Amino acid sequence: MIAQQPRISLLGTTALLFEAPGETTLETQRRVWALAERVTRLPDVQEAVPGMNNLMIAFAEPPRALEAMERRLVELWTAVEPLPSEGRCLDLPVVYGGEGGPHLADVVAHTGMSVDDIVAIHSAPVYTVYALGSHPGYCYLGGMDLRIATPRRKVPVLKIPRGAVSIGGDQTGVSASDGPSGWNTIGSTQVVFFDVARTPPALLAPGDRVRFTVERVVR
Amino acid sequence: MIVVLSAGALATVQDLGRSGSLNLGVGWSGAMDPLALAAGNILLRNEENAAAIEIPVFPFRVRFARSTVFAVTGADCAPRLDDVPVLPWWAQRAEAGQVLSLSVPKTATWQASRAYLCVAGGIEVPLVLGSRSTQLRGAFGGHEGRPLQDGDTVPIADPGRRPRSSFGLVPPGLVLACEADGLAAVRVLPAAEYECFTPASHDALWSTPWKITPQSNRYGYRLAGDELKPVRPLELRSHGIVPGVIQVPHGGQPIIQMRDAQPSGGYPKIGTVIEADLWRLGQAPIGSSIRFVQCSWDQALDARAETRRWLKNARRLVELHCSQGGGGDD
Amino acid sequence: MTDAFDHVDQLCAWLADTDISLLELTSPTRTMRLLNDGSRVAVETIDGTEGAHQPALLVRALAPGIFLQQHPLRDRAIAAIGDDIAADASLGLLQIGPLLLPVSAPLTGTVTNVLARHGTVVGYGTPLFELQPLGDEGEA
Repeated sequence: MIAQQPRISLLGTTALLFEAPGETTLETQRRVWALAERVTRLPDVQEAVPGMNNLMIAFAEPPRALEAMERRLVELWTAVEPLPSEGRCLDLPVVYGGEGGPHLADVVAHTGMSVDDIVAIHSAPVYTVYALGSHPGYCYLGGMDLRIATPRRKVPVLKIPRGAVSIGGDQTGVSASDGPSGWNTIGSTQVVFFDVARTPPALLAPGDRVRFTVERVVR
Repeated sequence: MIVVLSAGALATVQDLGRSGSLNLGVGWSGAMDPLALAAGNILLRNEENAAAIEIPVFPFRVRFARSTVFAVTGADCAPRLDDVPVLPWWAQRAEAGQVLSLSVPKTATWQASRAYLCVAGGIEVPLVLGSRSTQLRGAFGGHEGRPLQDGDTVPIADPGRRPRSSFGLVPPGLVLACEADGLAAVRVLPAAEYECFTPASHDALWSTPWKITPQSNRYGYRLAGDELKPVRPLELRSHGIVPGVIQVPHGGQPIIQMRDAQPSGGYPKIGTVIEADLWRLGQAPIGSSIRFVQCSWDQALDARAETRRWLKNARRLVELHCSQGGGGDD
Repeated sequence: MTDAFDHVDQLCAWLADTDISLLELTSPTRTMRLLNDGSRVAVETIDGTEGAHQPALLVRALAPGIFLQQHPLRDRAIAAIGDDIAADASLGLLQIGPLLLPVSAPLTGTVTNVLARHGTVVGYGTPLFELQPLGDEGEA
């Protein structure tokens, strides 16, 4: 279901969801960032939150004239220049497998590839931070090789630790704090992604890039 | 200062929530019944956003370490100060050393499940990212980023305006009631994937009761009822979501996102409970059933304006009463 | 209107059209109560000397509002006939819009009568409760 036009829908009176047309691409995401930056300056807007090729716009005050706001968004979407994706590039050392990667075997079973292949494929790309979401400091990363895509777990794990590197469907990410997850944890990193005592509290921002480096593979 | 003698479970410090950090992955948190919190603060002449203690599990007991004016809003949990009954939604003076006890809410005229212990001045915990609300995932905000425990001491800020005691507010839940077939009802605007569900699912959504299961909490309410089925399986890209969004995961049993919900998700959304009715949902007890009522954008905004008007009028009359020297002096 | 006592019939007719349950007229020598039960208005006259024999105290509304015998969240009266109430404790409530004000006992006593109906509009000075003071004489 790939729309050709932006799609705007309501999240109650609290927010609007703007969904960009087309396949999920970095080019589109760079325009989502630009739109976010632009709409944050509108008086009715409390905050704008990029997702994966979409933007949630939370209202400071929900406008009576909703259609006018929707028209404005579409106008802005066609007018904005994509923001550059020239953030910092960070290396994240990962211990793959072992205690910190309890579901690596499940990814092996699903893909039919060896541990070495999976580790090599996962640590090869430079991933772009598309958006933050889910929990404080968590990054949605774009750029995973689809060969290691593995469906979400049937039964979510109640508590996976901070720093867990995992695969869910065709996405990969790192948990920023302890919590439940339905993804397959293949490794762990010691990097701290979120600390309220820091300014800004989140280590990474949209547009930043990360590379997983192999610290060790536990078989 | 308040000393927690019996914390019950999952009592947390909350204000009206933490906005502006969604793009760091930080959800809003905040009171499940923002109307009860705001009204309690108005009664005590605090800012509407002052922090209070949200209490979902009883009994709950605290000792006031110094004299203060307080109010217990939300559910009527038969407050007692030492051995003397105190009215709910009532500005009451407590002397240093007095013990406040709250028991399991009773339902006489209004079914509710959460109480708010509001104090003149508000609960004084540090502002984190602009809010005093407890953010459990990530463990920050509120009191040390966690629910209260027996023995905790919680500081109270100095009141900005001189509070008055011995008067109260009519619980707005009685005035702003919304029911369908005798059940508490919440108004809903259809969301992006509404049209992707079968006609039978639409019928079920609007015309059958939805039971709030025991797997419901500040993160979300898991509902039980007729199965909601999309016409065909849906795959969505992760996107921002807000409290009130009704997601339908694969099993067909909806989950309403609540104040501690994660700020992004990817399950199909059939609708969103309007902001003006989230407080009613926040008070709906586990095991009770609710109904969804479809509404228009204009009706949703009217409902929001009605709530605002109630608060504004309450503020005006409280200030008038206090300026005329009414009530007990403190 | 020079003297309200000359216009009792007129006042009764007006009162019948309202949901005010009691109107009390007082002069230095006498007191007259117009009691509206919703269907008719009855007139009760108490002269000054008779009043002196009544030790019971009337607790009046200190503001116009809706008289509530019980809190809106409760199904039991705050104070019922026969209850002993301490000085300053609440007997009932007056609702003014969203505001609830206490109707407090001026002294310790026993509630001997409730003079207004729950949920009715009362005016400034409307008697709401009759309180028999609990004094030293009871100990004799």
